[in-house]
Amino acid sequence: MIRLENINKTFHGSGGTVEAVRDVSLHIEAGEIFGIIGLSGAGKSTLARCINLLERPDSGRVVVDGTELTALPEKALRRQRLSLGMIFQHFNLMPSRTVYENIAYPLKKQKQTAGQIERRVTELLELVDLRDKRDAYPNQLSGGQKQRVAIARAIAGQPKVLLCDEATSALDPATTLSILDLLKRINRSLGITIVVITHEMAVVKEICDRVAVMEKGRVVESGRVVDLFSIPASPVTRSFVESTANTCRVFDLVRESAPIVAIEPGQVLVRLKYLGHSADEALISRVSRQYNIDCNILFGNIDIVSDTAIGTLVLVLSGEKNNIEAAIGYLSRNNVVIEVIDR
Amino acid sequence: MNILTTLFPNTMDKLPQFTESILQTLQMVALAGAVSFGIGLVFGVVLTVTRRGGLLAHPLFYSVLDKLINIFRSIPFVILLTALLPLTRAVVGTAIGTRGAIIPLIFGTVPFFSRQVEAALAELDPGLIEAAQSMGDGPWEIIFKVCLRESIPALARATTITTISLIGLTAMAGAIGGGGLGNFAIMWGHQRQQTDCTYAAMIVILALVFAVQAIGNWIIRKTTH
Repeated sequence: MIRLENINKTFHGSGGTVEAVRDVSLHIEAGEIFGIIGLSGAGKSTLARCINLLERPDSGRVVVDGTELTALPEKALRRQRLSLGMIFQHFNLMPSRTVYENIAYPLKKQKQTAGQIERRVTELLELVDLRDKRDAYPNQLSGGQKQRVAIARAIAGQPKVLLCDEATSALDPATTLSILDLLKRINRSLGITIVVITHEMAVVKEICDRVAVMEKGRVVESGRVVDLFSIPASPVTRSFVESTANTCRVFDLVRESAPIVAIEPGQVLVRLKYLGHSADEALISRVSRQYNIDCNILFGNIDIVSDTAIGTLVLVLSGEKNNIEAAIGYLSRNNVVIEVIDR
Repeated sequence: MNILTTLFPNTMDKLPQFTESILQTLQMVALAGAVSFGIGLVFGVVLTVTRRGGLLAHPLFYSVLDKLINIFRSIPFVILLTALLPLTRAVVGTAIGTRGAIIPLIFGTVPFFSRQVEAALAELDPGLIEAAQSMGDGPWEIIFKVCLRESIPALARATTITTISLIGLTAMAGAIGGGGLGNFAIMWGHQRQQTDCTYAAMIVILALVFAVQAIGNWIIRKTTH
């Protein structure tokens, strides 16, 4: 659906030049929810604006649904933008227009009759669950409601793609979840391809199928969210993954020599990570029996990412040194990522 | 009527002249105001869109208009009045009376209002322009449907301030024979020391200013949501 080829974008400002996007190539499939995650200044918002050419890349090609946008003249490009909806961190609703008028705004360009517009807006209000706010003004709405109106406006013209630029970053966690839920519903029921720009791993975890991680203008890693979560390759990805799980706290605790992670001579402190399928087997009790060792669970966490469980356990193993080594070997042969933290 | 004759004996003596002065002031404000509003709005929009990073960025054009406005804003109005005499004579045929005052009033008001419009449009959230662009709007649609439409309260405020300043200018135009309340106050109140004429003119001008401010506030309140 969206193909970005060797996109480069540099800004020349008074504070010097900023290479916002460097040689980025991505392919986003039709119907998927694709995440672009990165810290602020990583270039993710610029990259998103390169998709609908609000920001024209210095070089590279943008192809959306078979049309090369970078090759279009300005007027044709504007027509194409109707098939690329966009929502923003600060909603960007027109404050002098009611909810109804805001949603009708893009429809008026499509030469529809008043009746058609009325029907479409009513339908959209229903979809975003705001029927009673039809004649309210944006400033009378909460953040979550504003973003719902913005979503309705963005999809009013029946676009194929919806770009979400930090769409939940100004919202509280509960509202964020309800907006993500709405996006998921729109993706599933209307088949709209969604691109989510965010700095929150929780958002990616919640709705994305695939994700690209950006750092200093480059995509450092991309792939299925489950894969990135279970085996993050780059340090940025690892820090993003750990931001949503609390098991990384164990490293701090070890550093602080907290009593909860204190081990006796001969004991080994390990962290296990496993995917859903290995969680089905009774691995812990099996190694305990088979290798005659004790496994004491200090803490654990299970993340559900794209319907797959990713488990993390922090254990203290005690027993014969050889048996412990054999048990560690057995676990790693059974698709468990095992990390010795302290011994 | 009796109280008025006691308080404003000289004014009541020449009531027809006084009412005519009021009408002249209103006429100057309405005419010069309408023309300046139109030109100033265009200039303000042009300044906004042609500046660096604007919708239709054109640095050279911006720079020329910007300087021109600064020059006319720097000239004190009393000097502008006399400096424009030849132009006024050429355009409207006379340099005196209400008609003669219109051209200098426009030259005095347009630069001020252009800046006010520019400032009003600068308050607009750039996110709205971005949203409109993302919906496929071109520069003209954005100027009319977003920039101007969404800035109505700010433009109403700018118009109120400019109208009040224009009322002040019409009084000054009276000094060189423009007619109106300023002329009335100078001719009778100052030169013939019938001070009550000055106060009467002042009271009417104050009432005008209050009325303009009240209408402005009402429009701002009605258009702010």
